[in-house]
Formats: sequence, C-alpha cells, structure tokens
Amino acid sequence: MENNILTLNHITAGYGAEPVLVDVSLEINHLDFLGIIGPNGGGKTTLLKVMMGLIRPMAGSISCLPESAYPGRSLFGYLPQVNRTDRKFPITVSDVVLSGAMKKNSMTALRKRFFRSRAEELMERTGLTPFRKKMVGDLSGGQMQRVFLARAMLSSPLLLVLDEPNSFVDNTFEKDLYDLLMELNRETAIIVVSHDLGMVASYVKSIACVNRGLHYHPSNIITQELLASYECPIDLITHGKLPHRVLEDHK
Amino acid sequence: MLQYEFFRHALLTAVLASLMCGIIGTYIVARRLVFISGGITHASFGGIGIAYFFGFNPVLGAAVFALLSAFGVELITKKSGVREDSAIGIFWSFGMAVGIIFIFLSSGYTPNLMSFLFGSILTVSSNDLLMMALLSMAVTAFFVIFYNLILYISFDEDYALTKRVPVQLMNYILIGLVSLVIVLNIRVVGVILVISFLTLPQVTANMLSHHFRSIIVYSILIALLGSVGGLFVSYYADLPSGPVIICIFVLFFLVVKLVNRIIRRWMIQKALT
Repeated sequence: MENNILTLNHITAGYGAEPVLVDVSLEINHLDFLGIIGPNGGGKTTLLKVMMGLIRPMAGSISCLPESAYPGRSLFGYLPQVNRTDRKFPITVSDVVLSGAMKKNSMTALRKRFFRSRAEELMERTGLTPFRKKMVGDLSGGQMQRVFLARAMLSSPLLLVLDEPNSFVDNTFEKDLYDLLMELNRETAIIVVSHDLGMVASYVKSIACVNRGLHYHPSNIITQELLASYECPIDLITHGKLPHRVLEDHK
Repeated sequence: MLQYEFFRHALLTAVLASLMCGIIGTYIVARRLVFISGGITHASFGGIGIAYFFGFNPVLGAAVFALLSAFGVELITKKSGVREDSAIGIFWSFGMAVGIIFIFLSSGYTPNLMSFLFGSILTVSSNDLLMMALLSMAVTAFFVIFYNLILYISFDEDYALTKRVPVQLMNYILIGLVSLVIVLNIRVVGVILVISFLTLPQVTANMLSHHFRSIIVYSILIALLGSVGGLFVSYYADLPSGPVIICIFVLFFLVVKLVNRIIRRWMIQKALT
C-alpha cells in the first residue's frame, strides 16, 4: 500500500469571508500518530473539517488515497466534539455505533452481520454493553464519547480523527482510551486534537501546532521555547503528573 | 353512517393521513424541523390563492409554493448567510400575504377558502384520495428502503459527510417529501392545523419510546386513533372535524404525560424503599 494517506497543499479555510486557517500544508502517512495542539479558535477543528471534506477550502488542494486502495476499510473514522450533538435525538447506543458502517451502496446480509458482531465487540471493549439499548442522549459526556469512539472504529478506518477525545472522559477511562489508541495505531493512523497537551504528548509520535498557520514538529518532545518560536501560545504547565520523557524542563 | 360515501372517504383519508404524517412527522420532530414545516405550510397558502385567481387546482399551486419555499429557505440560508429561522419567517409571511391578496382579487367568490384554512375531511374527492394513497406509498417505501441512512444523517450530518454518503441529496428529497405531505394534508385539517398532525402524535409517541422506528409506529397508531375518533365525535356533536381531531391529540398528549409522571414517581418511590 502506498505510504501517504492524505496531503493538504497550501490550504486556506474558514467560515464566511473570514479565513481561520491560512496557507496550511500537512502530510498524513500510514501509522502516523499526530497530536494537534493550539489555542481555542486557532483553527484545530476547522483543520479536521477541511481534511475530511466537511467544509470546502477557500484556496489550496487536498489529495487522498483512492477508494480502491483500501478495500473493506474506510478512509476516515471521526470522533466529533460531544457537545454539539442533539441530546434529545431518539437513537439508541447500538444504533449510533452501527452508523459507523454507513455507506453509499447497500450492504449484503453478510456484511451487515459482520458489522453487527463487530459493533457488539467494540461496545464490549469500550464498556458500553450495559447501555446498548439506552438513548444516547441519556449517557454522560464520557460514555457518549466512548460511543463515538466505537462508531469511529467500526469501519476500520485508515485514519482515525479524534476531536478532543479526553474532554469528558473520566480518569479511569482516560488511560484505557490511550492504551486502546496505542493498540489501534498498529494498523491505523491517528490524529488527535487536544488542549490537554500533557496527556496527549506521551502517546503521539509527532505534534502540530495550529494557530492560523501550522507548524509541524516531528517528535513528541517539545519545549516552551519551541512553542514560542511556533507562535503557539500554549502553556506547557499541566495538571497532575507529567510523563517526563515528553516535555523538556521549562523554567 | 358508514353507508355514506363521504364518510367512507373521510375514514380512508384519516388512515392515509395518519400513515404518512406518522412517518414524516417523526422525521420532522427528531430533526427539529417543526418551524420550517410551519413555514412551508403557510407559504403554500400563496399557491392556493394564485390557483383560485387563475382557476386551476389549488393543490397544485400549494405544492409549487411549498417546494419553492422549502428549497428557498435552504438556498437563502446557505448562500446569503441569512439565519434559517429568519429565512423561514420571510417565506411564512410572504406566502400568506400573496395568498390573501389573490383571494381578495378573486372578486369575493371564495367558496372553499375556509376549507383550506381549517380543513374539510368530509369533502375529500376520490382524486384527492388517490394522490394521498400514492404519496403514502412513496413515503413508506422511501423510509423502508433508506431507514438506516435517514436515521444516521438525521442524527449526525457531519459524520455522514465523512462517510461520503450523498447527504445533501437525501436532505433535498426528504424536505421535498415533507412539503408534499404538508400540501396533501392541508385538505384534511387545513393550513392552520396541519402542523398538529406532524407533531402531536410524535411528541406523544416519543414519551413512550426513544427508538426512531417505534416512534414512527406509535405515531401512526396515535394519529389513527385520534383522527378516526375525532371524526365520530365531530359527526355526533356536529362540530368541525379538524379542530376536534386536534383536541383529541392534545388530550392523548396530556394523558400520556400524566401517566408517565405517575409511573416515574412510583419508580422513584420503589427505588428509594
């Protein structure tokens, strides 16, 4: 399989006439594990949306692998921010997970059965089995995030795109979540957006700072000085215990 | 009274209206499209007025106005950045204004105008029935075939887009079906009351189940019970059928709400002891 999954060439994008991202280029390869950091309003979510074709860029181009290059898998598995879902929508947990397999053309009975059993498996893995018949809006933020993670994983995507996956997740699941991602990373490239740098940094292989522009940093060791040179106003001071190998000392 | 043809027609109309409104209304309520549905309903009055003035079938005029306003709202919202509810307000009032002007111009002779405002299920023709039957079949078939896709797109449009499914096309087809269902049901309960068929049974059903498919089934049953019951009540009490049906819908809503609350109280009590 070709190594490159997705390439953004000099993308400018935003809403209305106001660009949020200016002249951004980025390359995603197989088995990448990229952490995206940056200030609120810096364009992190916009970058994800442009990448997945949810908004059209104002300038620049995007190229991705043709569908024929990944039979039986999908290109994207997307975990959106939980707070923009309609909590009153009448849909059960297992239906949301199953929706991860939606496709243009109808599926054969065999494929359907395959996705059913895979959905059960993923719900078991993420501890959702007891809630499978519940309405998704009745769950807590953390549980809902697990539902979205299972949905994103259902179609075995080449690229898993996670927008703030740890914003609601309870502490007990947070470690599980990252262990799960590490495991997934053996066959899936992962992009994770987070404002909690400390947690993300110990798992990712590379970091991108997004603040109107994008600075790519090909390792997970990053210093405050480096961030400053990237014009990325993010504080490395985080709560709790920091994994030492990740962040170099900052005074 | 079943020996009267008009009453048999009315019963059949109630069945068909319950079927298609049960399905389309569940979609409307789940996706929070009640306001745009109200807008489409009132905008279609413009088509009715023009049809009166020029002497063609008012259902046709209403259908054209309904579809134009549905797509018009979508277009204005997307292209010119007017907020959606504001755009709906524009079409809502403009349609009504056009309708009233043309009916005023129709030299004072407007025999069935009241029936369009408040519905007249008792004067439904076989032609109307045929159209309702066809649309009911189309709506049912579409929802059976595309059930999963409709559900998934409605729940999370962005996610569906990342899966490269034709979200925009589905949205257009669905809002088109919403428009047509509204227009054909204006005959039954009228411009003023049609929205009740598309919301009240569904909201009541939503209290009984959180499952999209079950809400559809319950809505159809509730709408059927309410509309057939309303027909009999209006016949014996000599009251207009549309408003009676809606009062029964509201009654159902209140009863289910009350029972729901009692059951919940009882369950909390039980959990505490």
